[in-house]
Amino acid sequence: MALIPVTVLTGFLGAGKTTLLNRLLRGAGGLRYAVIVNEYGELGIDGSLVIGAEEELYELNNGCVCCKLRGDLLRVASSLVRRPGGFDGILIETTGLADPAPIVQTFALDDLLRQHTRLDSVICVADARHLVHQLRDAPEVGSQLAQADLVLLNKADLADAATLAAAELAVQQINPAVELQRSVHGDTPLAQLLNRGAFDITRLHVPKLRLGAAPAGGRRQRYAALDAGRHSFGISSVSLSFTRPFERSRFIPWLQRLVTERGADLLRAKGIVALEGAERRFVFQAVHMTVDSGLDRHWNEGEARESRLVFIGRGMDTEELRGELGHCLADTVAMTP
Amino acid sequence: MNAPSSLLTLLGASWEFGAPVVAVAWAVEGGLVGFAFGDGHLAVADAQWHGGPRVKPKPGGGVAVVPATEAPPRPVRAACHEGSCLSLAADANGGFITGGDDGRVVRVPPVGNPQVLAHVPGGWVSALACSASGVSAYASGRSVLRLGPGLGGTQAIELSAPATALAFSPDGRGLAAAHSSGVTLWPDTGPPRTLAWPGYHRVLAWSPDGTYLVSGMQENALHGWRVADSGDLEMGGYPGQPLSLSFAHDGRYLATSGATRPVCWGFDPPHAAASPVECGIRSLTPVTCVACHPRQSLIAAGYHNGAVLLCQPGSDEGLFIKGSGGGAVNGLAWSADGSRLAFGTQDGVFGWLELPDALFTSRTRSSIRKGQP
Repeated sequence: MALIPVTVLTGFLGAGKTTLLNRLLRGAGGLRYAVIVNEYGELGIDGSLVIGAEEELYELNNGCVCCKLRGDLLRVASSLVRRPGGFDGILIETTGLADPAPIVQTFALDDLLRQHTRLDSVICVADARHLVHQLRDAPEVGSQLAQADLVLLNKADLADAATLAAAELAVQQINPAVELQRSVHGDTPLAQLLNRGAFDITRLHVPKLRLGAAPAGGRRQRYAALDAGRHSFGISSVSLSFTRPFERSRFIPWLQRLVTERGADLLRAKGIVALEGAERRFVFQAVHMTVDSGLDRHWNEGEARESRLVFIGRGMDTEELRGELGHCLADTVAMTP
Repeated sequence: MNAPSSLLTLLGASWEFGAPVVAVAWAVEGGLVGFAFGDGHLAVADAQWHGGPRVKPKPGGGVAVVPATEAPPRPVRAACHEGSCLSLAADANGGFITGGDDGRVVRVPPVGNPQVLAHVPGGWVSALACSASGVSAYASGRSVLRLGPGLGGTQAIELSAPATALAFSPDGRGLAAAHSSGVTLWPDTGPPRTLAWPGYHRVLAWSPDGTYLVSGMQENALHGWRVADSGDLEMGGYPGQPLSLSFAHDGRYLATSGATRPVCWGFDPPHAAASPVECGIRSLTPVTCVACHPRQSLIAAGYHNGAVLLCQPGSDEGLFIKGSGGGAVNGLAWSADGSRLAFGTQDGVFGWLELPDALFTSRTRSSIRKGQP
């Protein structure tokens, strides 16, 4: 049974989300979408099913403040999976102030939705001209960038080169694993927006470290070390890579402890990890306390068995994480007091 | 979970339509069973099967099945909604009522064409319930409406959150509406009151005497209330979401889905020290639906792989109604007299079968013999 792909479209007010959504629906090439929106607006594309769902957030009863689900989305999406062959995918448009994490958790934690759907991608549309200011003014912008696997810097034609470069740098500081694209009127080719498999742990994208390298777009930037998160409500990212393999019995418990103890501040994490003695890659991704992990493909012959990990959240400290992870490496000489 | 032979092929009839079954209900007058589909249709099957299979008790125990001599009557399909059927209930006045994602509430009488009872433009009618006295209630978003004899038109209340389920108390005098953070009770006279409990409440079941109201929650748990004094009952520990609840006919236990076997909670009376009991055969696939027999201590359980089993609380045995296949069982319903069981699946397989008492009395006798050689 084919799982229904779910694409979440986030973005701050006025970034061009609705324009992109309309383009997606019109140019879907015969594909039909069920579109879940918070409010009925100008949307109303022939042949597409537009459904309103309240942005009803509630906390799971497990005492964890970060485990939030979207109740009304559950109700609506659960009914959609009983609708036969009527559509090829679900698009969820969020309001500009919404945190996408509860949507991701709703699809990850519900039995029925897990059986019938797969979260394909979280796309964030940002206004290239205003992103840097918005990051400073509204905490939701940082969360949206952190959860996204694709950021469209829209209205790129209206921004000057320096503004554009600053916006790109800001995105990459928050989310180094994101794919960044400039767009004008949401003109990104549709094929790049759909079927991204961004939540498929076997297709996990964790970039190599590129400290000081040019951000996407090819423009050379001078790398300037800034206080992480200074302009983004403390949201920052830490990218680490290790050439020595990890010891399974130390790394897995550490990861579990990280998401349990710091889940509220951990917006997003992902990693491709080499475990000592394992012929296959260990991959994981997390949104707050919701973790998906498993053994992926075999390491290729001659492939460098390098572990790459990215953590995005509030108060993420590079040296602290590097230190903790260092203790999880194999063959570490035990430190005794 | 493959059955060598199933009771369905011996004693029942089944069909396949190319759309998921959303809900199953028997009409109050018996003999008619409705299947609501995800493509907006309602199929109504007539269980008065002339020349159908019969069960004959054999002298000395056991039963013999006399095969059918005629084909079963084909279900009649009625187009009720433009999109999907979302909800189904048996109308106290006969026939069925369905709610759909076109915002319509449609009555399908036993004879004649469907009629639109109500229309909420742009809304979804996600939940429906009918009381024995003929009052119908439906929910769209946060609004809950009821109409029927003696109400003087349509009455409405607004909930604090969108409704997920509706259920009339057994005496029909109270309507419960589940939603995020609790359940709202709307009595036939007087203002509504809320039974609050944090979390997302998705399904409801009343105990047969109306003493207890239980909700199945997203958080892999049940929450119950003693309605008279709003006393809380917490029931948890499920590996999955318990989204199907059914009280035993005598109210002595509540059977639920949410695990790989039906889970039964004692309600005779419920107490904190009691732990739930699983019954039926061991399985690897989750139970998706449960339905308690209206007269006997028997539970019909539907599984995610399409199997349907009969089991008894406290027993590890099971009797196959239907083997796996056809997708997850989305609906199970007993006719009011308990002589027939109907089912429907995610892949659109649906049907019903005769389960006369002779079948169970002979089984009981043989199991007693087995127990005392």
